[in-house]
Amino acid sequence: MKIIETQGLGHRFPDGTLALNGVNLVVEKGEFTILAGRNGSGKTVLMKHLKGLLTPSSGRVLIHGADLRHLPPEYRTTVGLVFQNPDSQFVGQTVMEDLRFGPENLRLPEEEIQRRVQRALDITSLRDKADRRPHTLSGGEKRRLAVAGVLALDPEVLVLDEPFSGLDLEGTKDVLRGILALHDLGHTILLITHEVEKVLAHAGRLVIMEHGRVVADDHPSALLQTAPRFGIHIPKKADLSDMTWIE
Amino acid sequence: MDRVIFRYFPGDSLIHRFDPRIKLPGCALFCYAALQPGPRNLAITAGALLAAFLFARIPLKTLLIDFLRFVPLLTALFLAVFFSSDDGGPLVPAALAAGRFALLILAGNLLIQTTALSRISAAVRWFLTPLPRRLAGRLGTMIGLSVGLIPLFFQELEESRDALKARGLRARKQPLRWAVKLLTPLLARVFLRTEEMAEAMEGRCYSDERSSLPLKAQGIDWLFGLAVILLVLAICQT
Ligand SMILES: Nc1ncnc2c1ncn2[C@@H]1O[C@H](COP(=O)(O)OP(=O)(O)OP(=O)(O)O)[C@@H](O)[C@H]1O
Ligand SMILES: [Mg+2]
Repeated sequence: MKIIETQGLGHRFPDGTLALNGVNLVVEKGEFTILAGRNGSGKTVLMKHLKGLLTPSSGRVLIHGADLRHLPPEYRTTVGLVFQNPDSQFVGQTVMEDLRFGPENLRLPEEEIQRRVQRALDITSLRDKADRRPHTLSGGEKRRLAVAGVLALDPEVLVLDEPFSGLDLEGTKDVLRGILALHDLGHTILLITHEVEKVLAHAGRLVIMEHGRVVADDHPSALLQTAPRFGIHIPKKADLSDMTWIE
Repeated sequence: MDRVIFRYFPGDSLIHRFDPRIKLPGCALFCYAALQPGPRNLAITAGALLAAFLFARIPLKTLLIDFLRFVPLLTALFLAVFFSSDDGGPLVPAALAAGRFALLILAGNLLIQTTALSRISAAVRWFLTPLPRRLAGRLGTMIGLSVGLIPLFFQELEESRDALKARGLRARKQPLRWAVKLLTPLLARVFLRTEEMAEAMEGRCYSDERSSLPLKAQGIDWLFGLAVILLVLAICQT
């Protein structure tokens, strides 16, 4: 089942930069997809379009077949974005309060807000941090909180932008395990990263972008030879099943 | 860098749990009481405030260290009153003025330290109920956010300052150049962060009409309100 579909999506910034140039991408329910590509290839801009944070210069984005610009309210939370910089995503003074932000925006009743906050805390193992101030958390915990804040909206698809950047081995494992758990729970995952060797073994699909276009889109095993041509580091003689930071 | 003054200090004390709709006006009334003349009143209000701090289990030692940053301000106030009053023994009124001001700062600080922003903005929304829902909602969120942006700003400030230091530019040696070099990137970064924050909020379905934290006033809240009123009455009677 198609959840997201972009049709000829183009984006030109006011300064003339053509960030997206006719992107056609379909995200199916339950997929675990990795979106990779060089710096400046348009990954983050594409992600913002999937939630309607930017307006296409050409083409369109469909969510469950409905144009994002006239989205029925029930699809408002279909896509959840986790941005790269966790620090500027926190709006609450404590972890708990931050998690309430999304559900409060949806005007959910108090019991439902509580239920979702508790669920998000559990899935991201942040329960014992509920009363901490977000800015005092470790890097890995901040990432998990950013994910939890979006989880509280109960999105079908989670799009994560560079969730491993700046994390050490433990932090990376921590976040990766969280993402895999979410996938097991039935969330569709679109993960933006150029450190593919950390996760590729878990993905069912690899999409590569270059100059605002999708230049490759296939099962990871089919792209091991091509990927390096687009600036993606694939360790030499590595087996696909080795490309994970979790044993 | 991790100051405690004027920053929410999560907790579960009675003071934390008081209904903010009573705590907010209660704090204002307390300030009014603290401003009444006379050393006796100052002593009573200071005692009440100290008790409240103890109840809230705020680490007093850290608070005291943070409070030192207000000492120059209080000294200035002391000196201003000292040199402007011409009645006998100007030392006492000057000390009282400084003491009262210190109390005001601490009372405001206690409110912030023990009340989550979401509760303050829920109370503000409640007080603004006569206004249209959207407007009240927006004001409530604005108050919450502007305070939320402060730590972000300080973090950026710190980083910009360190970056300058690393490049050998120090405030003491070239203050003007330092200020310009500090402010330009700082503003740019703060704007960038604000934009990122706005995007993240929009990504989390931000709307002006949000469900608000449910507030519930219980017997204990009314008792607290009554205690503050009694305190004010007792002080104003004398
Ligand atoms: N606000 C903006 N104004 C002008 N150009 C922009 C803006 N944001 C992004 N761009 C440009 O759009 C292009 C795509 O940027 P994008 O951020 O999507 O890249 P990316 O693939 O996410 O790169 P990275 O791996 O570095 O995060 C880049 O050329 C970038 O310079
Ligand atoms: Mg990017």
